[in-house]
Amino acid sequence: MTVYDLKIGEEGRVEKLLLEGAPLLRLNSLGLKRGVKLRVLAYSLFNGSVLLSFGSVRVSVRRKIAERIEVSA
Amino acid sequence: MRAALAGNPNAGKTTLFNYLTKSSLRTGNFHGVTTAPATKTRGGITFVDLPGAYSFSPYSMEEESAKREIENADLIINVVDCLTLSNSLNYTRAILAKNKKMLIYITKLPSLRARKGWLDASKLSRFLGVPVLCSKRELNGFIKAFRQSGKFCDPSPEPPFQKIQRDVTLKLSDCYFAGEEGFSAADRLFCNKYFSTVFFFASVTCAFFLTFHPLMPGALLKSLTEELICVKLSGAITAHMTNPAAISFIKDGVFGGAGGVLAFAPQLIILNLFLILLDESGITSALSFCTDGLFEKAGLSGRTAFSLVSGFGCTAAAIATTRGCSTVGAQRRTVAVLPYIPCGAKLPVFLTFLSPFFENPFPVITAFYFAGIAVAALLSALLKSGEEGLITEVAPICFPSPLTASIKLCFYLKGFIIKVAGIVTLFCTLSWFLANFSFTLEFVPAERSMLCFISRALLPLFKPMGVDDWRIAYAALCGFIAKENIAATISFLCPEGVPLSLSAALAVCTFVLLSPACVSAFSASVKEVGLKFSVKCVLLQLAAALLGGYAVGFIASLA
Repeated sequence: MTVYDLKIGEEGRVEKLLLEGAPLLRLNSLGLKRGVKLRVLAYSLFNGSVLLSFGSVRVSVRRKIAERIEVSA
Repeated sequence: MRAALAGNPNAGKTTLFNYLTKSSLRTGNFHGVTTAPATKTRGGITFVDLPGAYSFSPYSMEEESAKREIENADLIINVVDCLTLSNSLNYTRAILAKNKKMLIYITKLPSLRARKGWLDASKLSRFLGVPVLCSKRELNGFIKAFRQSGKFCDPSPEPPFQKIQRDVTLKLSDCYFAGEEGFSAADRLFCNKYFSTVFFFASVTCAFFLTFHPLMPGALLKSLTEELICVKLSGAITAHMTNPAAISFIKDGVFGGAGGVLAFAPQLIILNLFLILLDESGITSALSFCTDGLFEKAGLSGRTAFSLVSGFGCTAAAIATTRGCSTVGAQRRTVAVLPYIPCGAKLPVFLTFLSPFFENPFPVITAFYFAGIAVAALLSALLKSGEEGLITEVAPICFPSPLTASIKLCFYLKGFIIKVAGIVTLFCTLSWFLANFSFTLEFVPAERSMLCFISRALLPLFKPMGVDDWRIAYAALCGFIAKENIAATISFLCPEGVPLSLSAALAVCTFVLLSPACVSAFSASVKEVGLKFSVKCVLLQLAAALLGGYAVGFIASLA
């Protein structure tokens, strides 16, 4: 399942990042890699983006990108 | 000697730079405020403030420029936000690998302590093999010693950079504890999409209300200031003058123009105070996240939407509020689009032209307002690049520091008075000259002035709208100085009523709706996004205004 299938407050472990190029680099440098545990903090209006927290970082990610982050429960 | 300040976005580099060099560069509690390196020399050391970066992989132009500056620097001050230490250290390690003289400066220590975390600077220093400083006093001491040791071309480590023995037995957890990294109650509140959206609209309405409503402090202070400057002060100066030309110059030219603009100051202060508080507390960051779904379609963000709504009051003020936009692209788009939002000064213009034809002109005027909003939203959606805002760090909510807020406000006001008022006074004096002197340089009434001649010359441009009278063109030209002038000029020049048919009146209103904003807005725009871009916008708006006027005039005359 992807990040978007998680509800607010739920945690997930990153299995795959189906991204390439700049967005992938950006997420990596923020600390999001395979095996990292993340938690969904909030969704925006119309679920356009999702607020994630992992490590000590809080990141807002748009749907387009978030749907390509695969997680396991 | 070059000292580069490097670190993650929102670590506090620019704040430190401002302290070290006594500058006042723009700062903000969100990521991506600094977009280009800035240098300033103080006490023999050239400090370079860099944009934030997470690594040396070139994600963007900002990170590229950071990488280059680091490679050219003699000393690297790695500014590290201790709230996100474990992540920040990735960049630190990358810089360490460059083998440059380096020290680490820790920021946001009080916030770390507030959430029950701790940091042992000396242990961390032995863990990394680099000096770790936590206070400005320590930093000043280091810099003084660095300056005194002089020869930067000497590659050997001089005091205070004696080799710090790396202690490999230490782990990060021995030096640092992050505390409760929870989502505080305030965070939870502002990240709740329903609360946030309501709060957003409420705060925008409140700010707008306080600033522009006739009975509120903003508007009252504006008329007070205007009264003080344009009436009392100019009256005092001209009381003993006899030459009518000179009196008119002081009263109408200099004070009329400059005074009118300076009168904006109270409203700008209120509006900007609101925005500064929202920015510094991190609420804007959270709001932008929550309302992103709503504004994304129009290529906007919560922040730019705030600016656009301010545009209903005053375009110049709204342009000034785009300063806090997170990317240059978003700022430019907002500035390009703002003049289409009808400002408060356009309302009397619509009323003057449309009242003769409509018992109740407000429905028509509302239609014009919605047309303006539609054009703005459409243009914004067309211009958006779509790549902004894909992945953004969101700052935690904290109480804004009153000191930082007041410093920012003062700095802003100073800039406004110097730059904006300067350009506007120049334009006003020029237009006063054109409106009161003939080509033979005699002081004459409006009908024989140079401006009248120019209006007659430009009348053909207005003919397709159904306008035959030079006085309308004259008023439209005056409108470029300040939209308030249009209504005033019309009532002065056409005491018998406005000489326009309904279709021509609608066409002229369309022209006013789409035309470039007044010179105050233009100078605010120059200050925010530069001269070239502003001029481009003005030319495009002029073209659109004329074409729009023709189109509406044509369609209306058919009906």
